[in-house]
Amino acid sequence: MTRAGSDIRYDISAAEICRMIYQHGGPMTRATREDGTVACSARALVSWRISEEAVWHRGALLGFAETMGPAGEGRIEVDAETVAVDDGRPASGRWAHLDLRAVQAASSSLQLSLPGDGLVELRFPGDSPRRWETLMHRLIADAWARAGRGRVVEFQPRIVALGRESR
Amino acid sequence: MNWYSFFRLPARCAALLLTRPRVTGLENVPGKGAFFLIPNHLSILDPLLVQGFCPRQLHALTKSTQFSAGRFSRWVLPRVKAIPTRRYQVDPQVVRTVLRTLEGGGGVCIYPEGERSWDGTLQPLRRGTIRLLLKAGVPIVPCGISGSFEARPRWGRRFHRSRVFLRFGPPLHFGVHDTRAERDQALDAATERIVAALVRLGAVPPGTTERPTIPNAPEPTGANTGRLPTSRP
Repeated sequence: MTRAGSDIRYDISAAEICRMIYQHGGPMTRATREDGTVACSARALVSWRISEEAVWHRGALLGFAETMGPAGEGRIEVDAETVAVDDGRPASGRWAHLDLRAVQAASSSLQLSLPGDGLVELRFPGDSPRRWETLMHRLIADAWARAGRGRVVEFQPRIVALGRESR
Repeated sequence: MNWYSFFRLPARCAALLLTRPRVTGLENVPGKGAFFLIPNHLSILDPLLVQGFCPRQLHALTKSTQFSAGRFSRWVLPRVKAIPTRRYQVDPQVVRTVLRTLEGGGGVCIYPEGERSWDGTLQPLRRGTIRLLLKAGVPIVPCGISGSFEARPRWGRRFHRSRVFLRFGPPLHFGVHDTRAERDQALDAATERIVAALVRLGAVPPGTTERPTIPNAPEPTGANTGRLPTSRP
């Protein structure tokens, strides 16, 4: 493999790179301040779901696929209780972790299923969707545990805790 | 020849060029009748490998965003038997489409982890997927893929030549679980059996960095070795 921006070649497997990354700590290392509070933000390209279309083939309904709107420059901010997405459009807002319905990384973007029927997709030009996915998982799991909702075991297609499931 | 057969040829050629795959256990794929194929998911190359080399045509669950990726994707995916799946919400239409396909005697491919692995290890299996497998009650063929993560990891931007192994295992039978209570009761045991089967076929268990030993499998070579020393030009 070749490191980006240089000609240095590494004779190393992808699995070994992952192991070395994990040794440097999890996502909370950058999200936790010195006083112990959690706060993290990043620039993101934000797009919102504008419709869902049925997919038909030979007269049979196969399923549905979402259509995302144009991406706009925005930010995502999280703390221990809430997540905020702001790109200057009306759908922007702040939501409690307890109200989110699902979190997942789709290819190189992060998708949040919002209360109601909203879906927002964030691409990170200077950050890792994997890191943000793991960070969101951690914050949501902690929020559910604090609220006595149990241990979260699944984050998509809906958040599921042992014994309880999200709406 | 249908579109699936038409596109399978270039898929197989691409897989051969990029990964030099070794395919074993094809005799475990049922010759006729409904069945599930459940591979572990390491790379964007996996569908090329699985659908390129599985002797039966497969209806594969595909994330719905792929159907919105462009006009060609939207045209070609239904023709290669892809079923759109919304991963950000519970999608009952997927269950209906899968059960309809099985009733027609077709094979359905589901990646039970729900997404590609970030680090090459097996991710937790989706509870909804296991429930669907239990509800359908048809044979479940596990398929272990190894090596494709080194060829093109999820976070990678380039292809690297790497030997890929594709192993089809003996079908698992769980019987039909008609009620939600029956499925919930059998969920954990079924998950454990499926994980064990995938690990036996080469999937890397969560939390491990060492590759399991597969009887009679050639040693991995090249970029797959995990050697740490660096070389500089």
